[in-house]
Amino acid sequence: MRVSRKNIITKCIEGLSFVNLVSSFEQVDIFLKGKIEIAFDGLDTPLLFTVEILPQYPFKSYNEETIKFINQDLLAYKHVMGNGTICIHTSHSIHLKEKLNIDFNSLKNWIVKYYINKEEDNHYEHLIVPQHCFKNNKYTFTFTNVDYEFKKHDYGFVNLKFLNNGVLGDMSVTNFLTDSFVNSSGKELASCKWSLFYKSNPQKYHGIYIFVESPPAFHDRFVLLNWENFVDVFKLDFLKFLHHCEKDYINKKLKGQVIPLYIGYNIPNSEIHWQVALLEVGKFPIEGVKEHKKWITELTHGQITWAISHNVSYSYFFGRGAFSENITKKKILIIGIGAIGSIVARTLVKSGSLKIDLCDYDIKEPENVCRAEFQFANGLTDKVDELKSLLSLTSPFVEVRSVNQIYFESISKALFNDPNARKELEEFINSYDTIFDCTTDNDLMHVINQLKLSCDVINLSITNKAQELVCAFYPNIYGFVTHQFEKVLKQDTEDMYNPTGCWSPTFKASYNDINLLVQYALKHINLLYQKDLPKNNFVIETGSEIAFKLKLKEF
Amino acid sequence: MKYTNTYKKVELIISEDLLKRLSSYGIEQFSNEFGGFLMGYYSNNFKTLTITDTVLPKVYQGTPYLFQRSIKGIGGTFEVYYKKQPNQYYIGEWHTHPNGSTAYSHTDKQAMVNITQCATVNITNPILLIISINASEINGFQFYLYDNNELFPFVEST
Amino acid sequence: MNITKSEHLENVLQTHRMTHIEDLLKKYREKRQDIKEAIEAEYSSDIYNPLNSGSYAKHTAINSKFDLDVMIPFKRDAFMTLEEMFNDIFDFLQEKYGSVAEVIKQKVSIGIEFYADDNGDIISIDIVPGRELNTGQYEDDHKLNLYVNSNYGELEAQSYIQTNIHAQIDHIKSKDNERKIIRLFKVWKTTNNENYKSFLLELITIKAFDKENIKGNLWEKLKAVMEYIRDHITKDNFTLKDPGNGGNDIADTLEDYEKRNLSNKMKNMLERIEDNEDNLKHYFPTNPDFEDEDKNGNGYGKKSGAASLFSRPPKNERFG
Repeated sequence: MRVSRKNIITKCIEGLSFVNLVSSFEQVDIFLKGKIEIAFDGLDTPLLFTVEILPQYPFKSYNEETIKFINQDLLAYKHVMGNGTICIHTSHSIHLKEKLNIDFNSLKNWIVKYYINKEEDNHYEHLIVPQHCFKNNKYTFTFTNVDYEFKKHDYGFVNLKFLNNGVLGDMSVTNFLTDSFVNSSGKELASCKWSLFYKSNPQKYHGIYIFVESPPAFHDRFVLLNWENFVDVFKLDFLKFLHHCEKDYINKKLKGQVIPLYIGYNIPNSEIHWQVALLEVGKFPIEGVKEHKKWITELTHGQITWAISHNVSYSYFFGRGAFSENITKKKILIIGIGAIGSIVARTLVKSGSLKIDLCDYDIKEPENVCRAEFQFANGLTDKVDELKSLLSLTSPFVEVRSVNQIYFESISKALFNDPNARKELEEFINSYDTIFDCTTDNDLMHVINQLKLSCDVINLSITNKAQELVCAFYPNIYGFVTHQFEKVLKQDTEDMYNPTGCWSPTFKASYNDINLLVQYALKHINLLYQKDLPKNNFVIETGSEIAFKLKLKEF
Repeated sequence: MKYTNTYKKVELIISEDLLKRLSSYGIEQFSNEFGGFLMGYYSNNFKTLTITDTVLPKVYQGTPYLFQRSIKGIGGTFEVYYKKQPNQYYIGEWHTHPNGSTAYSHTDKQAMVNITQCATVNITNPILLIISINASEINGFQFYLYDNNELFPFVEST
Repeated sequence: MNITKSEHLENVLQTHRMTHIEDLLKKYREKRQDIKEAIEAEYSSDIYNPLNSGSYAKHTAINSKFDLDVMIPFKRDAFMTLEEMFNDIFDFLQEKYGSVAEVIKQKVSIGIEFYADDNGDIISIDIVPGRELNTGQYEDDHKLNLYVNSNYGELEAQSYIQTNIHAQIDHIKSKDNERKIIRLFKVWKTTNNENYKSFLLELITIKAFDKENIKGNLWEKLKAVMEYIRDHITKDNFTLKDPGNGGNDIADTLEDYEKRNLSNKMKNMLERIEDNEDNLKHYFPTNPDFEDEDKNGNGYGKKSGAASLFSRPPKNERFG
């Protein structure tokens, strides 16, 4: 007969020297639920835990452990969730007995570390905030660090920009960007650092802020849940301000609408964090009380509705990985945004670039979508226009502008021999730090190579079928690239893609073919900038056989 | 005396004495053709060739319209010239056209092709000198430069 | 590549010969003479005979980029300080040529770049003033102190530098093989916009020939020198003594990372040429301005691969 899971678990737990079974495991709903006591040398009095084991155990589910050790009395200690669940950091195992052994030992380790030794973590974790909804809708508020020092009890208004409506689990969600903070008389104090694309969004909203200095928390970890907890925090003049605001909103017939209240406090590294409570016009948590024959405003009791707030400053947004600052902080111009140029642009933006200008005279057609960073849904548009918006949608920090391509198609070529035009072109190009020329326009390449430039120019092109990528740096571009294409690389110039009705054949290669080469090249270029290495031209060779190798050949 | 070849932009220098000597060897053999090997050295930039001497064949056959020479018995002479200061090389051939023109024949051209194709020859532009003579004196002469299956005449430098 | 690497390199040298630009050189020489005479007239008894220096004097010049240098040896008591000397000759040249040329203070020299003439040619001559170490000593040892213009670029630790042009020229005299390699490096440096100093490449080439057994055809020699640079420049005890001043180590003018970069550059070049011979043409291109001219203008020809011109005529030949 098969031994039941319950018995295996019970037997295994009983075998652990520091665990006593207090009440045996029983099936409750989907859980196996029991009570245990942990006792070992060094622990003065034994600790009691409710243990809940989900049917998925020993597997994790939703990236969480499926065994829970709960003790509501331990909330004051580190790594305990609001319901008293201990956050244990544990290892993976697919064997039930082994996993039980690991997890109970993890619990013991937690007791030693945080209960007995009361160790402090260097790593700061945000307050644990429940995600409430307001009239069946969730709200999120993103903000960045700002260049302003808030003082305790400062209050005023927050200007918001609508970002979008979406779905969060089984509920709808409305996302807002924090635009700026203004004082109670409307003077702007601080502005969040979003790009102009977001700053100029006409869909404006607003909220109220108060800076309370210390985290509004109990046990240093759990956000306060009832307005009465703020009685000592909010001063009378702020409550009066709230009262005036509410009156004003009601006058404006906004009764029943949501008004976010930003509550700011200091966190480590001289940063401040904002928790956002949602107030309903008409139901602000304040009331008028007559004291010494005068009406004053007081906080009422009541549950706080907490929204989701998020610091997405540049350093967090790109915290997981970015290019070197020697690239991201530069003013960049990309000329030619076909397959190569658009991939370069998108990669730079995803890697943290802040200023990118785009230049291309071409129109995006449906056939461009398959291997460049364009979208079918946008239909026939100027390439620059579509990519500009795509890049802005990707990063809230990048400023993307389009450049009048007349410089490169007219001035650069027609007036090349005119010293004044040449000077103008040089000045224009030198106003950038780095230029990516992805046009595969040999004439332009020649023109640029002839100019006296103080900026970096990086020329990228690939051979037919994306066999090789050629990268050249100013001032060694024209001679190198033409020599490679004409003399060295054995390019198949016969088998081009030339479909019915097409007037100009193009090279054959897929998004994967091109992206592979461009990403390799960009990684190498990033290294050169990061380590300040000499910018030697290079060629990347690929293959089409199984287990092919990419070879980067530096010149 | 200095001559220029405009095709290859090179010059050739020969003394009047040497030219006279060559003519006199030819006149001695009149009315048969006669000739020999030209020796000389190049300037550092290979633009100027100075013809210094001739080596005469020991074994040869001459008729009024044909001249055939061999290097039998004189093979070592070329090394001797090479060891001189400055190093002198075999640089071409001369022969006479008794009562003829200074134009080269098809046979002459073929000989020059053979010379450049010969494995022991390291020069690619040998000189051909044709001297037109009569029984008592020189009628005229013409230097040619051989290059890639063609002969290009020299003109006197101004 | 249809021709061998050595043949190509010979073409490179050939098309970069100074003889191709005789007319232009003539203008340079005239200007140089003019300047020399002006300086001699101005400073008469304060100077010894000016002498030609630089790449043209060393026979390592290439026609695609060059200038002419003239060294002016001042007597010890001509000026109190080297700075005075430098400024005085600059003022004089500025006064004399300022209306027809750009006169510029450079690191150790004064550059005179004449405005383009009717043919669009720009003549530039560098004047290098130097002062003998002690009165009358120049005639014995040819040593000169040069003023180092610290306004130029970064602040120099030294305000003067000792040199001996005679010794430098002697150092490279009758070194034909070395000169060919040096000229090839200059072609490389010019066409690939490399910043390495010619003097450094010159000294390291001579040292390579000195230390290694370098032989074979032109490519083999160039390759051997490149390998020498690749393998030695980054070594701790590697020095390049200035033949004009033993105390001056030219290798020291490169930072460690610059040495690594140069070594790496040589490695890359050798590998790329090994990958594909056509890459040789990228690093060492012929001068296209003189390619056509040279197709038939190389002078009397030698068979490729032949060690010398020595020829033994074919055994029997028949003429008509």
